[in-house]
Amino acid sequence: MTWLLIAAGGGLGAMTRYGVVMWMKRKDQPYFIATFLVNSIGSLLMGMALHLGVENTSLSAFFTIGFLGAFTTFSTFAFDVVKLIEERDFRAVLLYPLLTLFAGIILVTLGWQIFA
Amino acid sequence: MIEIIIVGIGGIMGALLRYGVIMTVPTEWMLWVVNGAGSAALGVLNGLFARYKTANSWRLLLTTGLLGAFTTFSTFSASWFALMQTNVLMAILYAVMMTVVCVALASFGYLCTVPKAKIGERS
Repeated sequence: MTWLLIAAGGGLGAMTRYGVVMWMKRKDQPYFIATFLVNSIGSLLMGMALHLGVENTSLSAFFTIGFLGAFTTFSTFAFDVVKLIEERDFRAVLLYPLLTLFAGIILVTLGWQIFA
Repeated sequence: MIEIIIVGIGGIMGALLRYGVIMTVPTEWMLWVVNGAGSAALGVLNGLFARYKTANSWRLLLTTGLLGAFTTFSTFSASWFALMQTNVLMAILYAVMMTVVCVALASFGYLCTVPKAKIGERS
């Protein structure tokens, strides 16, 4: 049963991420802005969801493993950096991953604190 | 409209594959496996897409959908956050290493398949 919830969450998460990608494309933002947005928002929501804990396993499976797992992405993040190296934008090669990591840890902490 | 459904199908496959890894790989290695393998695979696929003319639906299914959902940043933030409570230095090292390893794997995969002439070309 758990796998079905994770599948549903995963499908929804990926579609929501694609929605953000399309939205940023329409706004003419560079490709890494969408990745930065989904990973940051996802980290904030993950911080809040950590309180779901073990009492509510199916909701937590659907939301954290399924939805948030698929909404956020590490592979696109890593390949964004490869693209930036290819474009020889070395300032962004350093800044983009550092800001992503920094935003991730700050927002997951903030999300956790909101319900603490 | 069809695009978002294709991404959704890829997302279902990616999340289920990740669940498979969660069930079989020790917790402390899970993120290294999904993010490392997923980043390498994305590099390989993007190199192949630069080499061969491919329908956009395949890109959406395999990269945006499947690999996007297979790899995860939110769980990574959570595990980094957990490490931070016990050892700040280890936590920072962990986060930087995960990023460096995945970028290295993505570029290695990409360099394996991208046509030499296309390196440096804006995609």
